[in-house]
Amino acid sequence: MNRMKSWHMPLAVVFMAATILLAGGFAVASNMGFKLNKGLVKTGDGQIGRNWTSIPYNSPYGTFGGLCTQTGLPTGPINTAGITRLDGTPGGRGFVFQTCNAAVGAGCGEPLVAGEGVQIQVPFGLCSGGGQLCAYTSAQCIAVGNPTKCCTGAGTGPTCPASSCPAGQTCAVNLSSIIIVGSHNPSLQITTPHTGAGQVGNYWFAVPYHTTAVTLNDVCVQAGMVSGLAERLDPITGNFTTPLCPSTQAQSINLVLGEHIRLRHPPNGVSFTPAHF
Amino acid sequence: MLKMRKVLIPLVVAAAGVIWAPAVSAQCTASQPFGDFGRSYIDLCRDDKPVDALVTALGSPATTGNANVICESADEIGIQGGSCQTEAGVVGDGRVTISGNYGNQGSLGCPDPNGIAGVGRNVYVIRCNDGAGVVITVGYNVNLGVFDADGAHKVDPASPTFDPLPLHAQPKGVDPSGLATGGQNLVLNNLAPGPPPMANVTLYDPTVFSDCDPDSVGTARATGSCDPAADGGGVLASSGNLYVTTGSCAGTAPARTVCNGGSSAGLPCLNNSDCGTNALCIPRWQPALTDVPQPLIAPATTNVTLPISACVGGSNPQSPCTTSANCGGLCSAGSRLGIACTTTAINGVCQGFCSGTGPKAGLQCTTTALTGVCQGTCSGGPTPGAGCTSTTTCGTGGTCVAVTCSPWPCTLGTCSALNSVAFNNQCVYLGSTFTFQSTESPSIVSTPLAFSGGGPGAPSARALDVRAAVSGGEIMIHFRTAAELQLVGFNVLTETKAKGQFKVNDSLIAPRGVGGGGATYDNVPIGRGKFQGGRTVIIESVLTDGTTLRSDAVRF
Repeated sequence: MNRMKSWHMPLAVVFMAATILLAGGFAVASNMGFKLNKGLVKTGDGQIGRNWTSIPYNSPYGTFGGLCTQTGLPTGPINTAGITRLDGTPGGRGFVFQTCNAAVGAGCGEPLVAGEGVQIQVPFGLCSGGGQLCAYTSAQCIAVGNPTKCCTGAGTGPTCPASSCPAGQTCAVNLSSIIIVGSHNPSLQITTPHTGAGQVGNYWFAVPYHTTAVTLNDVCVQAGMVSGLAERLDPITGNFTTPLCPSTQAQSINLVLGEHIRLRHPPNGVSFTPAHF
Repeated sequence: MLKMRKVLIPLVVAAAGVIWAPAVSAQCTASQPFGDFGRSYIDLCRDDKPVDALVTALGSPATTGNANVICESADEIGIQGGSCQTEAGVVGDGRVTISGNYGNQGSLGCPDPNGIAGVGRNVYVIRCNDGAGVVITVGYNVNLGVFDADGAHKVDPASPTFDPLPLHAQPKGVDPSGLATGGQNLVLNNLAPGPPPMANVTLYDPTVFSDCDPDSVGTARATGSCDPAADGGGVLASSGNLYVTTGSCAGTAPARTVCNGGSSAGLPCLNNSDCGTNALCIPRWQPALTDVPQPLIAPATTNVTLPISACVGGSNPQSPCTTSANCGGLCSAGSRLGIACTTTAINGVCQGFCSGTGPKAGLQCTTTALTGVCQGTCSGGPTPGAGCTSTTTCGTGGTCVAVTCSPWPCTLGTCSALNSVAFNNQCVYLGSTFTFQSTESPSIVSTPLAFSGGGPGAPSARALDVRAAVSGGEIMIHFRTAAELQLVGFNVLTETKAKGQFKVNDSLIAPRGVGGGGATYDNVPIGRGKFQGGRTVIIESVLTDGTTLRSDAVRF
């Protein structure tokens, strides 16, 4: 299962340590547990703001609702985050989406599955009147100078709206990061599903926070994949990168701490125990 | 050259729906990659400059528009598919790969939303720097979850695992069966400057590499991407329909329709919903006027009358026109700035703004009435200047005077000659579509013919009447130009089987035309050894914006 080349270990440790330090010192590796300050990109066009998120194999969250409340994601009736998991098993449910509001309202909501990542989407913010969401603030509006969102300045039109909110209201911007806590389960075996139409065969692999893998290709090799796909989604650009797995192309795509990736291995899937340090 | 997006209401369900639901015809909501997933590539494709590609999905309106989906090198950045395959090599090595994703930015429409076999068959038309290219079609590979272009490659007979061979982008021409090879199925025979300018063209059916071919990787590996029900027996062929448009010689949109205003103005669209509120999806390419009824039955030769005017400004910029009414207008101020319009009026598209300095000043309005957005201001009485909606609210002696709703301007476009100063290096493009199972592609996929240099009705810096003759150890070259607007100089090219097309002059040949006028070039000598066995001469005109115009090839 763990086929990582021996020279990769110290490199991976150095990389992970550096990444953790760069993350602001919130992520602390330990044998017992860790916490990570994970940045969130607000929901935008296309896939922008689709935050693919690794959930620790042992975590206190348990459910969508738990994840929402314990990380402080917005749970209001209008201002609510959205959580998605992917059930790619044949005959499975495909994308399972629930707003934090619905999850909390239902008690706990959908269960989280150990080894799987989830997608978190957060609206930009809520107008101070509480009646509607906003897409930008007045300051952003001016900075961007986007004529489709607001006026371009004095003399060319109406006074610039305070924000995308009704007159007199301001836009209260949602959080831009959450603290994720948990610990690793080194004995957990990952099994990607048999492939089929649509989402069948796709697996959102929660990359362990203490993984020894550095690139997508490292995961491919560790998982023993032969001719599959690995995929990262950049929440800022909203673009997928989908190399063959394994491949030299996949070697050039780094994993990002706290992000899950998609794996697909036709036709029968693959089983592996993720390597970690 | 052809490198070529919500209303919130206070209800939980509705709000969630608005936030999470994708726009109609937007990019796929999940990843749907396409490209080379078999470790192969296209070769013999000159790629020292960006290689063009047109992408369409048959039976589906999906396209990647002007997005860059061709990797000239493995380390290329900004590719629509996220990153490039190692097999793309380096720039200039003639190897390219396809890398795209219908779930990424730059994609419009989703060819196969449910990821099932037999839906949204893809077509890729690649055009290399030398005009050669290749046409590829593949269906959805359910197992891998991608549109795998390598499924259309020929099988390596030496491979027990049916690995793909590289796909050749050469030769460019017509094979004995009458099919166009090298990706160029629309060929220019002659161009008469007119007026009216007339292009004589021949349309061929293209040679197409398909995963349904018996000797393809898709068939050998039984990937299932060639769906027996949807694809069986289907042949990708020229539709016989020709289309024209105008645009910058440095690039044009492959989509037949674009948005006429708003934040998506000029972007490819499939229907009005792609263009947002108050904008329409309008034709960017128009049916060509031919002397042979369309659809043509390929191979077929016809004369095409080319447009001589296009819109400047308005809601249909750069599109062919005959009158300014064809060009529409755009709101040039107000909160509807950039929205398509035809008239300046408060009850028109642009609406108006509340004038004066009252509490409603500047707000968008549609009527001058106390009951409207602008309401009124008190004149006289105890609260002069205060906002009001009726005289009663102004107190004794006061009257409520309605605030005027003044119209925002709708600035109309004009129809101008292509060879006028209104345009800079404007081209006319002539292209065609494909059909598969009787369905016409929604995009122009025949690599368009470009007629450039200020328009076909205007003189062009393209070299004409090229001749070449052997004289001792040199090749003496003769040519002329009708005009040399925006011309930097000329290169002389030749072509060999081994090297393809390459330059034989040491430095640019300086232009001789005065004031943009034409000139004659006689006895331009090039050492015979420079041709390295090449027996053809092509004159390449290099323009100030970096684009080039190539003459017909002549032999010596």
